Amino acid sequence: MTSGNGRRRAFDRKTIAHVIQGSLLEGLVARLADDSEVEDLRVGRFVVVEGARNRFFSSVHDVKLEAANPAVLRAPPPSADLARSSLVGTQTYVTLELKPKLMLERADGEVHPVKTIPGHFARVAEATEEDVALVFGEPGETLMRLGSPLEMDAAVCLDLERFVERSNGVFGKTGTGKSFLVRMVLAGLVRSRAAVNLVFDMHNEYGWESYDEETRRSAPSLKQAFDSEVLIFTLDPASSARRRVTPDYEVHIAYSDIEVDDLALIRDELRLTDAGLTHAEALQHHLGGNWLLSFLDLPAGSEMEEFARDHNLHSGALQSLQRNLRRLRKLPFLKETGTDDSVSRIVKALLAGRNVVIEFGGQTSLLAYMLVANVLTRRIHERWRVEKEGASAEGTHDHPPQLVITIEEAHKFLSTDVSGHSIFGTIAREMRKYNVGLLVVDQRPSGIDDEVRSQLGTRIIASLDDDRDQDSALAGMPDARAMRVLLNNLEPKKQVLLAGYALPMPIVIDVDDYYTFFQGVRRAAAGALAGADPWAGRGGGSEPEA
Amino acid sequence: MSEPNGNGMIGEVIQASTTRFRAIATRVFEPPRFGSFVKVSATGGQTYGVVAGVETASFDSARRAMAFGMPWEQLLREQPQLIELIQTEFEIVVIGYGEGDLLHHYLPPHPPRLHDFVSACTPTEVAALTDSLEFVGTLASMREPSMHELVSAAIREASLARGRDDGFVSEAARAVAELFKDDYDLAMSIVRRLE
Repeated sequence: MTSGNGRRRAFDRKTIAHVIQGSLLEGLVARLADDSEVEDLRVGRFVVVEGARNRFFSSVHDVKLEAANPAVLRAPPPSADLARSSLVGTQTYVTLELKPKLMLERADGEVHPVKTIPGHFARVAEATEEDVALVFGEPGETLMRLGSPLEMDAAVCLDLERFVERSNGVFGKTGTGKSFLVRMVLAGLVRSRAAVNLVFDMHNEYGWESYDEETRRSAPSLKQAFDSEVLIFTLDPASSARRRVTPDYEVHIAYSDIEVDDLALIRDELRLTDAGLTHAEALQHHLGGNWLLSFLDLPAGSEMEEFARDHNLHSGALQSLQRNLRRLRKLPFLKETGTDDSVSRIVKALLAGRNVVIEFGGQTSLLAYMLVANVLTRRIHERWRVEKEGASAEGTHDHPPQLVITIEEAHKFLSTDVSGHSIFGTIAREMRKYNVGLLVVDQRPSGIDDEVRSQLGTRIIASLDDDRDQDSALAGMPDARAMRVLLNNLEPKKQVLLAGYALPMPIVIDVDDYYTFFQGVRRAAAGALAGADPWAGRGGGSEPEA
Repeated sequence: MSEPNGNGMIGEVIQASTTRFRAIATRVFEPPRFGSFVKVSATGGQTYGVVAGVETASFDSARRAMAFGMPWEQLLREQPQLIELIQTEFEIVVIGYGEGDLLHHYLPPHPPRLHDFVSACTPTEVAALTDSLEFVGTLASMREPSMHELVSAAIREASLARGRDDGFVSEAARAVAELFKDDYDLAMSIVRRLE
């Protein structure tokens, strides 16, 4: 960067503004250069500030119209062009608010968090591709290109290794391209082997292809790119068949796998009362492992009353509990006989480094989704805990692989009311202690428990309408207030704010085209581009999928 | 009044100070235009200025001109001596000076000499003088009652000399807006006079 060449290039950049005031705490204010057009400056744009010794990297957080003289505001000039143009830049001007996040020390060529600010009149200039690469790195095995900064063509990369070190969130209202984004991230994780994935795929999007309403074509998904590296488990084989998806396995869950905590999580769906749950706990205590099935089979009436008497329980409460629990009977994947197949198959696949997508098919009720996700995850987590503790005790390097569990409608699992019962709450809180992390996908981040939310390391946030959701999506991040502005100004589609642990600084990006991205991943996965950019495929245009 | 020596003479300096000087026009009723650029050439160089006011009156301040009540042509026929008794004076605000090839946009070390001749600046000279918009500030600093008129007239004259240069006018308008950022109304009254 200190080479003559680099310096010349630095001067070639277009000057956008000059710093006129600022503080480390509040950020910088820069006056827009007279030859720059205010309407060309989008909030969220990535810019650099050339200090005397450092180059500061920043986003534009706000744009303001200012007047040197209040009289101008009281009596704006009439439409005559000359009067107006004479005022622009003299009596009226535009300022930008910038929040530098990182700085490049020219002396050592290294990027550090900001510890100072540039002096008066420091030049604010357009960032170049080189700057973006300096901050976000060049795409590589574990640096995955997700998109480009606003109004630029340069790669913004997600550091997948850091990404999987924490639980993460993808937020955005419906229709923002959230699921495509999640697919891209998952493809990145599979491709880079930064983690193995377990995906609870409520809407059948992550395994095989899905129909893209916007482009009206079918959007390929993980299985198409990675074939045997991804296993599809289905809860609804009939639906899979209708969609011409060949799942690898069916998922069966035994009644004996269900614990009271699982029911607590879906108490709203089952209309369980506090008394009902207390009774369920008592039943589990008295009847043991297969309590649920035994209880469901218990004939109502005199036998039930007798049972209640024997165990000092309230027969009315028991009867209503049984009525409510009968809904479980309608779930076809719940089996009476204790077959442990599904869970152990999934665990085996995951431990072997293969990725698992659990398709819900037509079983899209929250009851099914939450029950299955919780039951399976609890068992898998338990297994990871055992493996991890074993590996740590023996001091071997045979730790279980880093596991990322993707859940949708996450606020249902992680709301303040239920996150105590949900295994997902536990995973989010214990961080990466057992090599298990979450990828929380949600459109209502405000529904997620504060404590869980604050544990989310990296956040990928698409447009959100609700104020509370915007606040919540950013809660617990440094400079959340400043980032709110960026969030507020996102385009409704294909634009996201990336922030947190896996990013050197928060940035708004235009997300890469999904189809082009996928083509690249697919080609790379097929080995056609051995040694080349693993996320290649850009520039070649997107060919329609066969 | 006798014909002056040299070409293009339009007046003769009769009073001079550092910031302004007065001249008597070579021909009665034929002063340079208000706001136009003029110069006084001497051996040491040129003094440049802008015409800031014109006045036509009787020679003798003790004898004021009187009303005759007849058309001008008739008056000239019947009282031909009258024209010899009146003179046109104009006042110039100094905006810079030339020394050899150098042009300075600030006041000269000495005022022009009395009885030196005043001539109009050529378009090339006007262009050189107004390439820098310093003259706007110099004229504005005179703070005379009709300053806004003077500034706008000078800009218009400069634009004319530059071949109706709209780019120049809008630059000058910005300079005015900048100069009078504390007096928006004044700035706008000047800018309006440029349109």
